Amino acid sequence: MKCTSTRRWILLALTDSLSARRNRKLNEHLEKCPACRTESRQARDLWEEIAHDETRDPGPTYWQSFASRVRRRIDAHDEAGAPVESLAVAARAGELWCRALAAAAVVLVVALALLDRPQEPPIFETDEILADVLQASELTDEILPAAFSVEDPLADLYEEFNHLSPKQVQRLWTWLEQEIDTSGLPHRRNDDEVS
Amino acid sequence: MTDPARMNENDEYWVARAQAGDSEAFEHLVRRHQRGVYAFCRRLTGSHDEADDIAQEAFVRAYRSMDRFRGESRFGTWLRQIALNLVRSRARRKRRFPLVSLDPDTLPSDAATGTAPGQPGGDLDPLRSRLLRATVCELPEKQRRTLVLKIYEEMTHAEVARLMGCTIGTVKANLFHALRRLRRQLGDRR
Ligand SMILES: [Zn+2]
Repeated sequence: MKCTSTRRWILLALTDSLSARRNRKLNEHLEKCPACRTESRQARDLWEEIAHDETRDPGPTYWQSFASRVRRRIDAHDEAGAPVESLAVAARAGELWCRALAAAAVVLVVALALLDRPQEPPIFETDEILADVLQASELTDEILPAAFSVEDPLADLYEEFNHLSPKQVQRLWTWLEQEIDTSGLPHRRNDDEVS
Repeated sequence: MTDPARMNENDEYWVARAQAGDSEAFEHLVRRHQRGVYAFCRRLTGSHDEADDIAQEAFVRAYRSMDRFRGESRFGTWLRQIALNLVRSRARRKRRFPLVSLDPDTLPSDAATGTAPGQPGGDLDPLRSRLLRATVCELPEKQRRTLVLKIYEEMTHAEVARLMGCTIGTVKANLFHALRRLRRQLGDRR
């Protein structure tokens, strides 16, 4: 087992995202690799540190008046909000119908697309597919957001992965390797095998 | 510490009364959940002012929709779902009309909020604590929300997935990315 995979598995294990089998393999590696053991301990310390960092309390005066401020907001809404809302609802009825029709069209298109999807059951556990994707994302999660100016495109991609057949996973994998130039990436480390 | 089961049982009692139109019962629920909902919002937004506004608004929306709460989740989880929706829609609006930056260093000072520096964080060095919070605030939105739900609200992967409206795989992926980013940016404990 490679140390680079171990580093990923350490983080997955911390969030209970590793299968029992991989957990065992991880522990076997940790037993014989001091560098990964240190990494594991530091990651665990960080996790603990984050978990025990509490938000600042705004103080007793703040809490004493909180419920009454909520009450005032409710009353303000009651006075101003309700009639306006009902008028607006009536006025927007036509618009809502148009939207409903548009939404129905979208649902139909999506349903057709789903029917078209190959029905082969995936042979990997979600964990394992995820680990493979993570390996790919090691290369892509810093480029894709910049290229497509989206927040975390992979998060949505992972959802799709749950429905992919092994063949499709392989195709995507090949695509990633072909399409993405990894030469200039700062954190594309060489895999350092444990001796 | 209050027994969570007992706490929930009591929630049911107060919720039923609030649903029957007892406004004092609703105020009781507000007082009971105000700290949790505020802390949740503050972690998501990184700002006292925003957390204050969103937490209050969440209770107002809850009040208006009390009849729609069927007890399928805990009342506290339902409140967090409402708060999370508000945080999301404001974040969307902010992306379109960027006005305020999410900089935890511009939070009201400890003196202004009535606590000694670093005091509630317990044994954490206040500077380290501030850095930690700043780094969590800078995480991409989905990663930050997932991390907050998992680590501070102590939800299971399935609960987080339900609240975020995504799959368990996505929850795991977001947690992984969040943690890896924090690990890279925060390095080792001094
Ligand atoms: Zn190693």
